[in-house]
Amino acid sequence: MKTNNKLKDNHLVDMNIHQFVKYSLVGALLLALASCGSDNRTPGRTFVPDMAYSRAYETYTKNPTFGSDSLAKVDSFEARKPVTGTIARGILPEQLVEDEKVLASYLYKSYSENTDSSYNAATNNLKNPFKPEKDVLDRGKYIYTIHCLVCHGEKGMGDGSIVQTEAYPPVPSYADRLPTISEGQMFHSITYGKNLMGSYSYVLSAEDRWKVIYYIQQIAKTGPFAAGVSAAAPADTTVTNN
Amino acid sequence: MNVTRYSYLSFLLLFALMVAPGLVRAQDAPSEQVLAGEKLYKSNCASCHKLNAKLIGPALEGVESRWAEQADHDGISGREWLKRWIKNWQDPVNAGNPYAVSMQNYDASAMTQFPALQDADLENILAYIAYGPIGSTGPTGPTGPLETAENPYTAYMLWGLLILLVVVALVLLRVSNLLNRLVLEKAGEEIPAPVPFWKNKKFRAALTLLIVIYIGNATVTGAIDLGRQQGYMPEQPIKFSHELHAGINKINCQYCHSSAAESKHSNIPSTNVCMNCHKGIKGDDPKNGKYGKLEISKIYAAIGFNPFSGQYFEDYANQEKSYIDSIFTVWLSDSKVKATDKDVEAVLAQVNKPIEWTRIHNLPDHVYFNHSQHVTAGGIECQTCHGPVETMEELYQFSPLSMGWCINCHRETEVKFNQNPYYETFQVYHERMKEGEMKNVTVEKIGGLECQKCHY
Repeated sequence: MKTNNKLKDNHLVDMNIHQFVKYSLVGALLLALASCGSDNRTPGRTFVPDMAYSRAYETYTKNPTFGSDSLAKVDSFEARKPVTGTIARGILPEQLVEDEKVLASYLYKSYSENTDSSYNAATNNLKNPFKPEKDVLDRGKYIYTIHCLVCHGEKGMGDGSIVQTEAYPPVPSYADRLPTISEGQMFHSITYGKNLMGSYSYVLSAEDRWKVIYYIQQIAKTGPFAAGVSAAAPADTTVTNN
Repeated sequence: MNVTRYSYLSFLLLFALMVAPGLVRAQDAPSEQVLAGEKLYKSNCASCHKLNAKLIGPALEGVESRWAEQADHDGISGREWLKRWIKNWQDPVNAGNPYAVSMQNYDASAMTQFPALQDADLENILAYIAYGPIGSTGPTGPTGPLETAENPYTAYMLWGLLILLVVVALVLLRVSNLLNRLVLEKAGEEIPAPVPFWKNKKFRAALTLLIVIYIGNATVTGAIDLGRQQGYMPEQPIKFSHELHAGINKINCQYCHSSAAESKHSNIPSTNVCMNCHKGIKGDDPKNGKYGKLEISKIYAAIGFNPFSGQYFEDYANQEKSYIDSIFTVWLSDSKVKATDKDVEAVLAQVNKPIEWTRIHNLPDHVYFNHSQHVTAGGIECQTCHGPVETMEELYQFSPLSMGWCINCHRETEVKFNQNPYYETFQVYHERMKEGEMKNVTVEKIGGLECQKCHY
C-alpha cells in the first residue's frame, strides 16, 4: 500500500492494484469461457435432434421389442439373425448348374458338419466351378489381401504381419501343406475353419471362397497352376521365392 | 568425503552394469540342435501347440517325460512311441498303445500327420521342446511412450510470451506518458488532470468493440459447431487399440469392417471376427501388457469362450451365471494381470451380453452416405475421411463431417474414371476425354453437388 500511495502522489498511476486485479480477473473469465465445450467424451449438442437422430431403429440400435422380459436371453439388436435355413439373396449361382459337385458347394453348410469325416469327404464332393481367368484371380487376390494376408503372408509362406510381430503363433506355409490337400478340403477349411483358423463363411460367399482358392493355388504353385513345376520334386524346393 | 562417496557409488553402478547381463542370461546358449528344432517346431507344430499352454493341442512342455513314463508298450520305449505319434498319430493308436489311445480324442479335430519328418528332425524338435522358448526376438507392442502430436508446452510458452509483451507495452506506455509530462512541466505549461484509463472514451469504445466481436464470434462458431463432433472420442466398453491392430500388426481395415466395401454401412465386427485371432491370442503372455488379458476376457465373456479349455461353452445362454463368473474370476486371478475388483466386475458384466460399442461417426439422419459407393466404386482410402486410424491408440473422429467438408472433397477429387466399369454410363465424358477436351472428371461433374444426391 505504501508504494501505491507514493505513486499516486506523483499522479503518474492511472489505476491502483485492486482495480488491476479486478480487470485481470474479468479477462481471465472471458478466456475461460472461450475454451468452453472442449470435452471430447461427449458428442456435443445438436440443433434439431429430430432430424439428426433417426426415429426409426437402425442396424445397431436397441429395439425394446426384443430383449424384453418376455423374450429373456434374446439380445436386443434391431438387426436379427436370419431364421435357420434361410438362403440369402444372391447366394445361388446365376445360371443353371448341372454339375452336382459345384452345386454342393453353394449350400455346403446346410448339409455338411464341421467334422473330420466331412473334411475328408469334401475331396470327392466339391469342385471349383471357375476357370483360372484373370478376373477370377484378381478377385481372389483382393480377398486374399484383406482376409488371408495378415497370417499367411504375401507368398503364402506363413509369414504374415501378425506372425512377424509374434502376436500370433506361426502358420504353416502353403508350399508344405497344399500338395497334400484337395481343393474341396480347402473349401471346407475356409468354410468351417481348421485348427486355430476361424471360419470365413460369414464374410466370403461360396464363389469368393472358390476364387480365393484359385489365387492361393497360384501363389503356392499347386493345383491348376502346378503346370511347369515338376510334380515329383519335394514341395520345399518348388517354391523359390521367400 | 564427497569424492570418496561418489567413487563408491560409481563403483557400485559399474558393478551392477557388469553383473546385470549375467543375471538375465541364466539359460545356456541354445545348441545347433535346439536352433534347428526351433525352426522345425515353428513351421510344423506351433500353429497348434504352445510350449507352456494349451492351444489346439496340449502344451508340449514335459511331453517327453509324459510319454516316457506312461507310454511304454510292447517292449518299445515311450519316447520311440512319441516319435511315431508325431509322424503319424494313427500308428501308435493302431498298435494299441494305451496312452496314445487315451490321447486320440483330445480335440475334435485330429492332429496333422507329418510323414516327411526324419528321425533327426524329430530329435531336433524334442531337443527344442526340452530346452524351452529361446528369448523373445521381436517387439509386439508400443515400446516407448507415444509422442503426442502437439507439445502442450509450446502453447504455454506462446501464452507466456504474449503476456510478457503486453506487460512490456504497458511499461513503455507508462514511460512515454511520464516523459510527456516532464516535457510539459519543463515548458511550464499546464499539466492536464490525469484521466483514469477506464474513463478514457477511446478505451471504452475499443473495449466495447472487442466484447461485441468476441461474443459474436463465440455465437457463430458455437452455432456452427452444433451437431458436429470433430475430435469426439467416447469411452468404449473395451480398450481396443487401432494402433496395435491396424498399425503395428497391419491388419487390413476391411478384415474387420468387411461390409464397408459392399453395403451402405460399415459394420462393427461381431465377436466371432475377434475370435479368429483371439482364440489363439489370449493375452496371458506378459508381452501383451497390462490390459491385454482383461480386455480380451470381455470378448470371451460376451461370446462364451472358455479360455482354459479353448472351447466354446455349450448352450451358453442357459449356463448358470455363477458358474461362468467363477471361471472368469479364476482366469483373471493371475498375479501378472493385477486385476482390481472393478476390472473383474467389468468383465463379469459382459457375460452373455453383446458388447455395446459407442458410435463415433454419426452423420445426421437427413444426410445419405454410402460406404460401398466410396470404397468400392470410388476407390477412396479409409484414411481419407477417418484420418490416421493406424496411429490412434484410442479412436476419435478425425474429420468434421460437415457439409462444407463433403462438398469441398467432391469438388477436388478426380473420379477414377477409366479403371472402373461403374462409370461406363457417362459416355459423353468418356468421348470428351478421348478427344482431349477434358482432362479429368471430378465428382462435381458427375453430379456430386446435386442436393438430392445426399438429401432426399
